[in-house]
Amino acid sequence: MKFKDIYVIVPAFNEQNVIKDIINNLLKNFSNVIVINDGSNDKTLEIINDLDIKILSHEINLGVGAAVQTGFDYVSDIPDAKAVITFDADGQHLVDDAVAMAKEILICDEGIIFGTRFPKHSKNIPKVKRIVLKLIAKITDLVTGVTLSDAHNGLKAYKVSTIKELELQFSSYSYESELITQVAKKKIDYKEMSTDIKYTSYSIKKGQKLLNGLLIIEDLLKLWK
Amino acid sequence: MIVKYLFLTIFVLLFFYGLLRPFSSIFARLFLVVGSMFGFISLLSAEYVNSIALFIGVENATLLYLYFGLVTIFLTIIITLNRFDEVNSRITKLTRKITILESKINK
Repeated sequence: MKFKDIYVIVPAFNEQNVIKDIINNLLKNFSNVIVINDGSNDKTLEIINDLDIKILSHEINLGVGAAVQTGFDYVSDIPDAKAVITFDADGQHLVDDAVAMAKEILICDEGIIFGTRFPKHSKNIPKVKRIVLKLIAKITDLVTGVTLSDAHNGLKAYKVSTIKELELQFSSYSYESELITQVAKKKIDYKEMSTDIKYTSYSIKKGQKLLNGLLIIEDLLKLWK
Repeated sequence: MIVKYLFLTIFVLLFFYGLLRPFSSIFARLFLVVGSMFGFISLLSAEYVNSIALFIGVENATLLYLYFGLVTIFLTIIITLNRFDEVNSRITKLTRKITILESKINK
């Protein structure tokens, strides 16, 4: 059975090596996949043009946060849309986890489900990254009061009513901090769901650099005024 | 001597530029006007700058130049970064709006 009223948003920037497989896997379970091509300058756009999906394309590279917000804006105008799932284009996430989240977001009371790699799948995370992620989660908790075990996981599920409340201004990866801040300020109900992560040399290269952790903390403090 | 007059002319032009150019912030205008006056005076004689330095409680002209220079550098960095963020945010909003409009046209 395919989900028809759940929209999967996939922000993509220069993902020509993996995007086709990822989208084809998603299409096995979801009827509506939206790829936001964030100003890619490789063959990403060319590849996804051949697929049966909705494509939104930024003329220039803005960052994952801006791409996600573009997806939110688009889905907000679709009358029969019930929920949204954000799914990274670098192949880190598993479609099975997205399916489990999709089922849950339709029946739960919470507005957002955050994917978490802790504690079940934390062994798959490189050690230093694990420490940085835990530290960020702890600081996020202290600053915003939102208690998450994994504050920076791209796999999330949102009710459409929730995305209508959100307005993300931050373009880069720090949109995650902004999102958590808005969850706290707008008192949006949230919960976590365990999700696995598949680290490949490709996804590590494409993912966040550890030093970005410092920028994330700076953004959190800036946001929480 | 020619170089001195050349610099004096530059500072006078900067002074009028500071008065006439439209600025988004009054502080930017003040900064340029006061800075050009300061440059003009310091070219006329270092004694004047010494007097200014003593008047505002700085030991001598050299230290006044140093403080003034450091403040200028840091203010410029902060203002430029803020301006950059602001422009970036506008470009982001514009690009996202174009994307959504394009998707509606291509429906």
